[in-house]
Amino acid sequence: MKKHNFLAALLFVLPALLIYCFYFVYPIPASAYYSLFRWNGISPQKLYLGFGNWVKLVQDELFWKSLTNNLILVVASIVIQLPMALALGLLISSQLRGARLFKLLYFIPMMLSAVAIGITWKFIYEPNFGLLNGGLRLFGLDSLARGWLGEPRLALAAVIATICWQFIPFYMVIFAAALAGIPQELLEAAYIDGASPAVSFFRITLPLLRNTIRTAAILSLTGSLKYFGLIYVMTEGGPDHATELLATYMYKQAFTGFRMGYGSTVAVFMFLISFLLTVLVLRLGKREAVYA
Amino acid sequence: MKKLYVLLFCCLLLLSAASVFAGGQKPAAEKGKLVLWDVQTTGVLPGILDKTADDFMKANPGIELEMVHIQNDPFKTKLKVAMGAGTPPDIFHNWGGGPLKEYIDSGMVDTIDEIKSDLLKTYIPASFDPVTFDGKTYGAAYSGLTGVFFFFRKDVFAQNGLTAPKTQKDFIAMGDKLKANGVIPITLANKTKWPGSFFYMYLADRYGGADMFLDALYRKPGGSFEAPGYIQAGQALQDLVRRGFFPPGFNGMDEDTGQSRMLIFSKKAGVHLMGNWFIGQAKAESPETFEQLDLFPFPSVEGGKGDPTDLIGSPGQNYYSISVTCSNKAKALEFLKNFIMNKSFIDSLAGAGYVPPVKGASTYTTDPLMKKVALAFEAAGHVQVYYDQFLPPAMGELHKDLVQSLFGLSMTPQEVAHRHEQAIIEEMKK
Repeated sequence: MKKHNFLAALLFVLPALLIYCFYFVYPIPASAYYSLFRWNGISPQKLYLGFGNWVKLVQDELFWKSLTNNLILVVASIVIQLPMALALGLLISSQLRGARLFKLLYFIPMMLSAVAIGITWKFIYEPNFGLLNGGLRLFGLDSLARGWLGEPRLALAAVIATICWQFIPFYMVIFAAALAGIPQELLEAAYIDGASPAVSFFRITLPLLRNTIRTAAILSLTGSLKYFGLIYVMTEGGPDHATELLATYMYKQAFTGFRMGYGSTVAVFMFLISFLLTVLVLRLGKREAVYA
Repeated sequence: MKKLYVLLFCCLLLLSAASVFAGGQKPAAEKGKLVLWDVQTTGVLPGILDKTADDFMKANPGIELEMVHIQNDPFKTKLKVAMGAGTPPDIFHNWGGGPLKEYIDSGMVDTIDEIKSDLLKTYIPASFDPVTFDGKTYGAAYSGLTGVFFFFRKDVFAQNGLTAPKTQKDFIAMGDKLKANGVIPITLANKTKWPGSFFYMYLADRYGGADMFLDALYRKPGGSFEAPGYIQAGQALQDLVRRGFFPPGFNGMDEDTGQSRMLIFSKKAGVHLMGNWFIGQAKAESPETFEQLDLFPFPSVEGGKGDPTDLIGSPGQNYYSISVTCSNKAKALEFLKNFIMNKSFIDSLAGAGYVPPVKGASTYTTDPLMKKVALAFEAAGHVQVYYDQFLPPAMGELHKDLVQSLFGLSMTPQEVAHRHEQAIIEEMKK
């Protein structure tokens, strides 16, 4: 009987499982295999290099630069997006008047496609006619007007600001949902005991959100590590590779540069580092949970 | 990584949809379907091409020719994936040069040698240069020849008391004057990188001559990307940057969304180094600018070896090639032979402001600017195809990155030249 159930279950899952295996699981070993060759992605012949691509990867300055930028993005995403999302989540789940309107407004970026966001922000950052510089000039702050996406020192920060704008609503909704799950009685009891709002936030709300925060951190971590969309639309990794990420670098190598083998090497590296960091964060989170 | 697979997956879905149409209905006798992909999504070309495709279908009942116009950058990825999967469209757009060579070397492209002698009755022979490898021809041009020139508004020049400069010295004097009058001397949107490459290619040509590039690329004795001409070109380019001739933040501005030409349209900038397709853009986007538009060739430099009539451009620009998987090659060849560059096609092109790469091109056009372009082609000592399209693809990308760094002053001319040289040595190892 039990076996029968398993078969039935398998049958139901099978279509999804096949698609998952073919498009998400199979490419991982396939990429690892391609990473051993010099291959342009089209030709039937591949030149076996052994670990040649990996040696090249380690010596590739641009690869290290992409990795550094990527790690900056990871840290910035977690440090900026999560606290702001939590603050907004608290705001929209509060009883304040107009909270529902703000809920709708803050959620808008989530409903736009990355390309639309990228193009819009490109015009906001545009140095001569752009909204940002225009606003600065309006207030007499001409000296602060910059070519935001054109200066290597500013481009990454400018793009990260847009990425945060895009993703904060997503985490805001996650936090708002988790906040709705916190029993009101706990907060009321604390209030009766004379706890200030700050104390009840840090002593009750925050600890109860621990699991949600961990999930959000992992989503943000893996999402930032493989991030591609806005960067590609807004800067294509430039200027001078100032905003190059692993994913854009991989794409350029594999597709624009006709180096499928080397691009696959970068892809496999991305997989490994995402995997390792995720395991690490999960482990850390668990240990803390035990001591809490 | 997941993103890539999602992308791939989407491409595959699209492709499989396309290939159902393309391959699924294999021609039974004279029935069948040809699928053509190109990058003509804006302006008048899509209309002209669709019309000639309709003519083709009228002349060949039972054969359907589906014209698929795809945006430039997505097209490159889509075609690459389709080629890799062995299901390319029957006829596909390309720019000749390095990327086409990759497809040829991978055995995905058929020659059109069968009809070349017919084509040569109309086309100028040079138009086949970018698509000819080892004596075999792999494509035919389907739009106008293009050259890169400095464009300017006559009213802006008149207001600032300027005339078109002929030498680098005059050019810098022009820039200083515009800057002093609060006009950005040169507009440039270099996020896209190829517009900046125009400056490097032209300066290299003017300093080192046309052969410097070819000698360096084909590893002729003494040929090198570190030749003095390249160093001088890099220095002259950075000199323009240091003088503040470009708009602030130009390395982040996007040519594809018109952030460069907006400055010309609004009279905020003086000159725009661009291919002559800019004339069409001005006509469509700012008729007022079009009324005032004029051009001058890239200035000569003191002590340079280059011929000042040399042009950067393409003697064909856009090409159609036939893939080896084409379901009906005879009909595809017929389309190229009798419907692209037939009389009415040439007339439509000329009427729309193109200079078709055909014999006596300057007589077809009445527009004074286009006439200038056509005459510049006839007089040119050499026409150099854009490096990024001519070089092997990986090196073409690197070239654009390096020039962007040169513009950003984050690399010296020597470093940029050295990295080009290293890249070509790396390519030769293949």
